Amino acid sequence: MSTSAGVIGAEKKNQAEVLRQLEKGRTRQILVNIALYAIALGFLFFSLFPILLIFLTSLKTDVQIFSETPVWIFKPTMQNYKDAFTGAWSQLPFLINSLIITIISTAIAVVFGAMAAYGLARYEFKGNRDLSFWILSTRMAPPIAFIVPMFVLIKAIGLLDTWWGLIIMYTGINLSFCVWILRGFFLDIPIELEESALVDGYTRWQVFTKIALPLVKPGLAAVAVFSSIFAWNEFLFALILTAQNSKTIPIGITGFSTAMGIRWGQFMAVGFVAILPVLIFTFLMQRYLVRGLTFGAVK
Amino acid sequence: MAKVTLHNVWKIYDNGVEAVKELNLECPDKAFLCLLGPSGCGKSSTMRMIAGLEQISSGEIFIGDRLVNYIPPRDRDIAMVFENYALYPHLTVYENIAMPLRVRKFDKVEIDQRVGEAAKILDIEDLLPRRIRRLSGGQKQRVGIGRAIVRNPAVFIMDEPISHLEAKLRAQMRAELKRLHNQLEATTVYVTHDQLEAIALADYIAVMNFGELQQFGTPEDLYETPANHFVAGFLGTPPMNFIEGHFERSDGDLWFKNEHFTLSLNQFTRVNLGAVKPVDKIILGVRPQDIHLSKTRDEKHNIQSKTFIWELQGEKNQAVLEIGQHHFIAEAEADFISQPGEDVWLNINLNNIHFFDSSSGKNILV
Repeated sequence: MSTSAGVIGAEKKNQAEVLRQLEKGRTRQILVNIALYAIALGFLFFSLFPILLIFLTSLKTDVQIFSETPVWIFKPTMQNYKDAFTGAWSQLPFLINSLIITIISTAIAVVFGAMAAYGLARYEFKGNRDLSFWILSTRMAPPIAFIVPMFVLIKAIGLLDTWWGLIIMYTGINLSFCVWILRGFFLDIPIELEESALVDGYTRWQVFTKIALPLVKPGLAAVAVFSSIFAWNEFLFALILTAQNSKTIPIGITGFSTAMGIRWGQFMAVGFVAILPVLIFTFLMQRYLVRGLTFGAVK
Repeated sequence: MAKVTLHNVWKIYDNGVEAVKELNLECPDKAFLCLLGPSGCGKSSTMRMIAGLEQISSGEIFIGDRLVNYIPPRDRDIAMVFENYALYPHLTVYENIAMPLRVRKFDKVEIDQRVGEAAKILDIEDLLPRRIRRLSGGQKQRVGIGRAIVRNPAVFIMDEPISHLEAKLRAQMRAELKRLHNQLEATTVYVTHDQLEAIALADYIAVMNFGELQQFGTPEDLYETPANHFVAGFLGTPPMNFIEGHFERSDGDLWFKNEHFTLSLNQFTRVNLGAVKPVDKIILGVRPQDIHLSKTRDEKHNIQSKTFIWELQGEKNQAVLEIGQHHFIAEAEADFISQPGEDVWLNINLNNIHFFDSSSGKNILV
């Protein structure tokens, strides 16, 4: 009797021990979660605070901007936006230049990049690998190294200070990026899918447009986003290759840094507006950026 | 429907590999032809040339009476089933099956009707609205087959369509493919490395190895009179046993002899061995089913061996026996059981044995 009671007692003690261990594990898990959220919050703050600051500053008067103690609650004014986008010093033309140059150069880079990438991925021909490497090598030199020859070249063909001058530059730079990224995406498509389409009645071109392209949508979205961000933010070439007519927004903004000081309010207003198009475009593309569309095609 | 003819077909890849060498084949109309061989034997290259996915290096391929060498796949009137299904992942089952018809601009009513028929044949009607990625392997391959049959092509080409499936499903799909072929009566070219599949499905088998056609014939032909050592070893489960030796004649008696045993061939009447061209070294081929075992030596059971492994398989038992350092596989009755190390005496049924020329591998009886 006493032995069995002892056994039961030991079991009970054991159970209590297990429960305590479980409890301990749970507490640790909670602590870990709190730490993770704290890090995430810190990072979020670090990323978003500058944007918030730009936005708030763009709505302030000069007095509020230069106030010694930061003003957090104030009556917002649209005066900075009015000043920045109307009148003789309006940034609106530059914004339009940027939009046109970005859209056209991105479109060309993605369309031709996709075609080139498909060719390189699917056709075996002499020099295939050399060609691929040559395309990549165009990205290896730092832009500052060939800015002067490029200036001479663009000037020689008469495209200085035009949309097309920058469009050609940006397309050239983005194209190699698009080709390389998309080539990988095309290589990931099981070849049987395309062969099956060929047997089912498609022409080569239809296989490309109706089978391959839909399957690399995530890749297309990714290169479109990156290419447009590059073109939108590019500063060096825009600075050298434009004067007034085709000036883009990054160059335009620098105009607020004047001999009489920096006009922070308008600076921030334009800055905030300049963030928006890329942000909106990226959000629009986000649903295509999910990988794994080809999952389930084979196997 | 149409026959498929290959005339002196070669496939030489850019790197110099000769994948298919001077292949001559004819698959009669409505027949089921299996291209059988180990991996790298050229069967896939052959199939891909018939489909038009691979250029023909030299030679001619006809589908029906039409030379198809320079005709793109879409105009060859073929349909293909792939090993890894190759379904369009961004489409539903219905859209996948309808695809070949849509491309060819069939009207909607006919597409609907034909897809419905195909789905009914394959018993996948309830899957039609589903997405591809939610299907199991067996279901995917049914959809793949559906996409092939919906167009009623002249020739079906199947590239190891069921080798990705697990064993039980594979057996089930095998039966279904057979039924499908009987029902549709379509010329089918079927590529596989699995001889069981080939024997079960094919009207004709073309065994290939190293890019060369080893033998073409019905499954029975190949099993009963293999043209060479390779074909004999490739078909049959468990595989045929081989052992080297030579013929010896004295006083009108004929023997097959090697260092381990002597087999009297006086009872061998299938072919007149006296008329066979003499060769020095001969390989004897015996199927495991043609060996009878006994625990005691007698007049018939006079070849000595030792049990090496004994496998119980229910209705039959399978033994791996040692003759010298050679391993022989034999089938034994269910009630005959032996332990490893035990002496066992063999009787070889002379009716089904084969002799191969040791250097060329050719069957010297045919």
